[in-house]
Amino acid sequence: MKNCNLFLLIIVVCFTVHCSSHAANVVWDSVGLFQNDVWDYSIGTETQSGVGAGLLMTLVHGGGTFGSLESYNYTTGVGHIWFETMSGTAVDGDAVNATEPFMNAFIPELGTIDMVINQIFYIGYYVGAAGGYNGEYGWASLVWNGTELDLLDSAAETTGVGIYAGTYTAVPEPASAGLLLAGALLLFIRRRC
Amino acid sequence: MLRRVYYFVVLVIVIAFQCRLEGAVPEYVSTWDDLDYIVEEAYASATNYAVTFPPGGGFRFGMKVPYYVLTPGSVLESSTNLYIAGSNVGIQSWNIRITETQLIDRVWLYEGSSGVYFRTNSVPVDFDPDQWSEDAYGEPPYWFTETEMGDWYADRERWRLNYSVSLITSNGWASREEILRTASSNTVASGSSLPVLPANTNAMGFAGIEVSYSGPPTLWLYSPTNPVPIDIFSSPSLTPASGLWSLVGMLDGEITFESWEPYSSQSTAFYRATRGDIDSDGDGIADGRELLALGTLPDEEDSDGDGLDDRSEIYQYSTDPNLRDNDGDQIWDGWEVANGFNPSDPSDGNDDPDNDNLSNLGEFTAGTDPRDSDSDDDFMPDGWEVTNNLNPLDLLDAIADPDHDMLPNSYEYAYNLNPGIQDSDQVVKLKVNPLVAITNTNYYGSIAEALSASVPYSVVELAEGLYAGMNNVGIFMPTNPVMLVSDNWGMSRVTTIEYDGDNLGALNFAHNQDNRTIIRGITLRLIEHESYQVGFFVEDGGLVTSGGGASPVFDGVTVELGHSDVNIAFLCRDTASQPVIFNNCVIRGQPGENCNYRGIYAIDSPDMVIHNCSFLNFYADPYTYGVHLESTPSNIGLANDPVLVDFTGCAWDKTFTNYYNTVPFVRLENSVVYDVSMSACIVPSELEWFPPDTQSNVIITNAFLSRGGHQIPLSPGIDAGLESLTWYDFEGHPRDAYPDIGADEYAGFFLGDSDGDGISDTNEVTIYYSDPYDSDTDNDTIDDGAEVAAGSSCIDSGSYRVTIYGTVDNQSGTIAPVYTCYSGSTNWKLSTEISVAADGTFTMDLLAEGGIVASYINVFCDINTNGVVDALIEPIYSQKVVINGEMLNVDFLLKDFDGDGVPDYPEVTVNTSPMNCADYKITIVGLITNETAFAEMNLMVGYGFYQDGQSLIEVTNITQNTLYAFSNQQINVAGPLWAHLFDDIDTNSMIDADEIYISKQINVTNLNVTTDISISVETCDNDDDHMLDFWEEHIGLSSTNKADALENSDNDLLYNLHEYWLLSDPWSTTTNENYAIFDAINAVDEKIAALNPTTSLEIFSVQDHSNTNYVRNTNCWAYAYDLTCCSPWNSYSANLRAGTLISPRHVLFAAHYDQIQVNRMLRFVDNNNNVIERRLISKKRHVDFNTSTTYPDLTVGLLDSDVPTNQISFAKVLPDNYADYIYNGERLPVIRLDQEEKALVGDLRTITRASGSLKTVCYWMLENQDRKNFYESVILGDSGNPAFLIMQNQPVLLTVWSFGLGGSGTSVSAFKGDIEQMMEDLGGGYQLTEIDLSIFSKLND
Repeated sequence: MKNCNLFLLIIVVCFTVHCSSHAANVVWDSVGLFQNDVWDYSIGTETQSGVGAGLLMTLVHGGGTFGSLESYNYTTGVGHIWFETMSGTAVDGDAVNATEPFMNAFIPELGTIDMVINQIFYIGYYVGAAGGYNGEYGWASLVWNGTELDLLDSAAETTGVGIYAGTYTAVPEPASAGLLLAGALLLFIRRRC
Repeated sequence: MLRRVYYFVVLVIVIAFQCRLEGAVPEYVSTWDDLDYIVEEAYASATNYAVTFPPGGGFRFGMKVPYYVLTPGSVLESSTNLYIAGSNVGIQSWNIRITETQLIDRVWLYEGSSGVYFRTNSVPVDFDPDQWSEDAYGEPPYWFTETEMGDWYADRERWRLNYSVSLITSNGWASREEILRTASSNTVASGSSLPVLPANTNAMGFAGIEVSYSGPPTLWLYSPTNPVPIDIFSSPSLTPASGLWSLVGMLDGEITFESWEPYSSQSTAFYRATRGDIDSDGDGIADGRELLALGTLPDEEDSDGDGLDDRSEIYQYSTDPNLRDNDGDQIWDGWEVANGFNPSDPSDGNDDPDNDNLSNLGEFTAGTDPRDSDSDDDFMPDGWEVTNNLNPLDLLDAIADPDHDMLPNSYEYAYNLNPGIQDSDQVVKLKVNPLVAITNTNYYGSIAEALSASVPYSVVELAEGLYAGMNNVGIFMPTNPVMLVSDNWGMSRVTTIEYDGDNLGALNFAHNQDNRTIIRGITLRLIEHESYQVGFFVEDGGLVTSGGGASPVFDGVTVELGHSDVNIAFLCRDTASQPVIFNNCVIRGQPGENCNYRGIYAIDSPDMVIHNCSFLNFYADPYTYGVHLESTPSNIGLANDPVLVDFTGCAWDKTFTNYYNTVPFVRLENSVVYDVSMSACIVPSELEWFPPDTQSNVIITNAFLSRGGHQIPLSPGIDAGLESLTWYDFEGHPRDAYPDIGADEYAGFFLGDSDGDGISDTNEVTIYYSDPYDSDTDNDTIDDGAEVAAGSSCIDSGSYRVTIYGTVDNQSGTIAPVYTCYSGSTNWKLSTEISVAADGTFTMDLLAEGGIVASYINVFCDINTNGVVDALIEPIYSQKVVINGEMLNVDFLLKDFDGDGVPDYPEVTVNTSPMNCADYKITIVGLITNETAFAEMNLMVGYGFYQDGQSLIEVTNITQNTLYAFSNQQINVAGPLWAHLFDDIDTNSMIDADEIYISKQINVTNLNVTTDISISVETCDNDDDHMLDFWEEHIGLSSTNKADALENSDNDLLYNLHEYWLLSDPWSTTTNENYAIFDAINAVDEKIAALNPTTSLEIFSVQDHSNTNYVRNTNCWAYAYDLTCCSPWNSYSANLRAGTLISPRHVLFAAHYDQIQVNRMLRFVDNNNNVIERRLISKKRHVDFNTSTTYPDLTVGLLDSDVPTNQISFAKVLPDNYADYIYNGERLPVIRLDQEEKALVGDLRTITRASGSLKTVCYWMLENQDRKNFYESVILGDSGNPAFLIMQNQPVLLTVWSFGLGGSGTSVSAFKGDIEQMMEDLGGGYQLTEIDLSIFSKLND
């Protein structure tokens, strides 16, 4: 029993050290939205290193309760990709590769997001170099009330592991996830001891 | 009806024990002491004698013949069940009467044969048979039914009573009366040898009578435990009347009663044996024995007051009747015996048989049940309650909150907290907030979700807002205890649940929900449903069950009833172990609604505690009750009988007097009884038994009254109705004291002003009869407080006072007097007319009694000063007013009544009507200006009613930059007027289809109207090609073809757009190249002509950053231009951004891409490929730079020293008057660098775009094929690179790139001042340098 406890203690300490050294960093209110004109908006973010990235977009009222947001230009500094996502969905490299972009400055490619009045929608983004390294992942929640577009909330994860849209929770690193599994295994072992 | 007793022959008082006389063998006692001993032993062995006295159960008539057994507490169902003696006993008729004598003053008699009851006095010493007369005492106020009588017997303390069973014959009343009278007077009637009655009917006797068929009856005494008859008449050793026992009557074979009832007939016999001693305290021990032998109190059955009577102490428990604590354990003997402990065992004081951490001694001290760990069933152990200074015998303190931390005591216990310390912050609440829950998983999105996640004693807190929909209403409360509170522990009271369903209630409860299920601070709003709607369904899951009711606590809950057919706020069905508690709740109907309301509807319900609740706005149709108490005929809900209902501090508002069937509460008792008590309540209509105050018609009752007419003398509220009422909260504290559990701290009813109308709730209810929760009770739009202050009635919509303050701004053109009045219409009402002061103000003080009188405030200007309204020339201005308070402000502008643009008075002066918008005169004047250089037009100006210029009314020829005028024009059409300026090419004074015109609406403001018209590209460019339509049509281009602006029909250097700038002929070559636009166009187009972009784009043929080797590309089309201001080094890597020299010391970057670090080296290459390096020592972003807009996207950097200007040139900028030379620069070619240091080419769209943000914008290159070959879009990584015009062979900086595609960036020309300020802030001593354009001809030269 003593050996079990000592072993478990060592693992916990290691886990703690590991996590602290790889701690994800989440910042709130990472995105700004600005109304340039009646139908013209810009949205942008600034990375922790001070690089700005944003895009210009036009709001189109499609009639009834439907509308759309069309991107029409983008900043040409650091690379960035913006895409529609859903609350709770991971905004990370996989999501960037798998999702139709709202705007992809690397290609470049412009796109459209459909909106419903008073229905909150989410935009995920990546800012950084091509290939998804040294970048930041973030999200913004917005709502269109039929007249104006409003930014509700936003957050970004700055170490490049990704973030869950609509949350302030970073996507676990694969290494951390592995340690969590190891911890569960150890707990099992301890009970057996 | 008076009923007389006709026959009285008292025979014997007999109580016999557990024996049947048949076959019994008499046993003789030798002394009276022996007999005493036998009797006392019988007492000593008796248990529970209060119920079964005599011991062993049951009366038995000591008759040898068949007998009747009457079990104590049983029901005397009818006389037929009693023994009716018949011929078998030889007695003609026997009736049985049972008498009960209380210590006080009543005897109840029952005549078994007729089943009729009557009451009389007891039979004391001074008994007077005449008092048996109903005449003397009148009709008894209430007759017991048989059942009630039996129950009544059962409930009495038997040892206080003297039972006697009298066998009474049916005849010979007169003689029996005589006997009784004689007996009562203790004197023997003349000629009679009858014995006397005992001196005290409270005496005891034990005797049996044995009636024989053949012989005389025999009187026996019996031992209760030894059912052996003792024939005292045959005991030779006894001397009657010599001892404690006296023989008052005897019958043997030798004695007959022939004188009055011959024995031979056996019709009557009278015997009585009684004990001569008196037992004053009824404890079963004769007074003399208590005094002489025991030393106990003869008039106190429990001499030591320890709860155990003397007889039990002596004969049963062998304890000292004069010592409360026999064993010295500090616990009284009676308590020990009652709870099954040994009064002689001192050790059991420390026992804790119920394991509630309270010893027996503690339980005794606290008065709790030592065998019940929670004596008051309030979910808190007795020991915990005592430890925490709570009352272990108070069920309701479970929801009390002495530390005011909003956590009830039962929850404090459950959470192991201290009920005397504010520690509720340690409770983790389940928070419901639908908005936050979207992004925060710590919150729940609906009530149902939170309740589903709850565990016992969870606190579910609802954020401010409106809750509706299937996950928030129509749901069941969980089976575990839970608190459901509005925000901030229920104190904020900002949570509203809205319910529009039926079948179930908005919230439904189950039978296992007790006082630990607490709803607090929530408003439930019922939305109209067609038939039947319930707010809180308090029973077992909303189903009709038997005895499955719930007993939650509603604390500070408000229910707003809807207007369905039936609207019930709380429906409580089926009994429960605890009461349903309502504390500080408000149940409101809707003003003006005629709906069937029930505030609390109880059916076979649990007991109910209703404190500090208000029932308001019950405007209703019949069968509408504040509280409806009902028991079903078969009591299917198994309600207790009675159900106790306690109203304290409640109020019903005045609406309960408005309608006949709107009553505060009603009882429909089909089975069990609702026993209602009320104290400190305000009830504005007559209840069933509470009469209203004759003055106010308001019931104010502080007395504690209960059904049946019993009034508790010590009720705290007696006579308090005469004093000012003090309202108490749930814990009995004044309402303004510390906040206690739940809502009273925020409700503040009566002491506060719930509706904020300036009148206290108490005064609203007691003085003004207004609604304390409705600031405008009579709905006349004036707050109650304002009405009271103004002296009008706040419950009569036709009574109000209002002061109207007004101002009149008279711009009608005259200073004639102005008058105002109020009336019910827009007509002038002379009786209410007042003058408006010279400063234009007026004040009206209106008191309305009987109707709204001030719907309109009217004003007119007395133009002709005759003091009256003249209908043709003096319009009446009116404003409809809404009376909404004590004071109103009404402002008037007297100017142009008919809205034709001409004020009233000028209209009058020219004899047009100020009240007809199609009747006015004006003079139209205006200036025609031409802001363009094009002047070759035949200009005409006219006006009409159509925007397209048709049907002009007047036309006149005009030259540019001169005035036109149409004088004194009579206008007879209501509608807009338009002025038109057109080029009348065919001189027919009409606007023809191919003629260009400019329209402008005439803004009529007076008799003289000015309408200027300007000619400019902005006002006259239908096809939006940026060329003046007049010019286009004049020169032969199309004013509807946008594309012709970029055509170059004469194949010179200029697009038609640029030809327009010069007003040159687009159809012939323009050759004057002294214009700047030629210079700019030539600078690019001539260089790129016939070049291959594959080899001529790169500025450098070699860019070896590592070895600092740069070689300019001599094949580059821009090789001839000095582009040394561009640093190739800056675009080399991710951390070195593009920078452009704007002075010998300053570099311009794009702010959004400016993270080149201070102390980094910047590298420039001169035209001879020599490298100049300078270090960046500081930089400054534009102060207004915004990341979300990427604007103003400018950062200026400062170098450590000047670059050598003989080697490196900095970029110049345009002068402020650049438009004189190149207009907005549209379609001029620009050189645009990228991250690869290519000299790309594009078309300028505008030097400074003013829309949204001041940017320089370039086109996607689509038009000019040569330029298109040298064009590339701005792509990722290009930000910060410059775009130049080339003028005088020098790069003139327009912008640095922010956005992609065609490219755009913050306009340098627009921000010259800001850039120079940044340069000055950084230091270095330089400003921007402008290119000199004055060497060129201006466009209009």
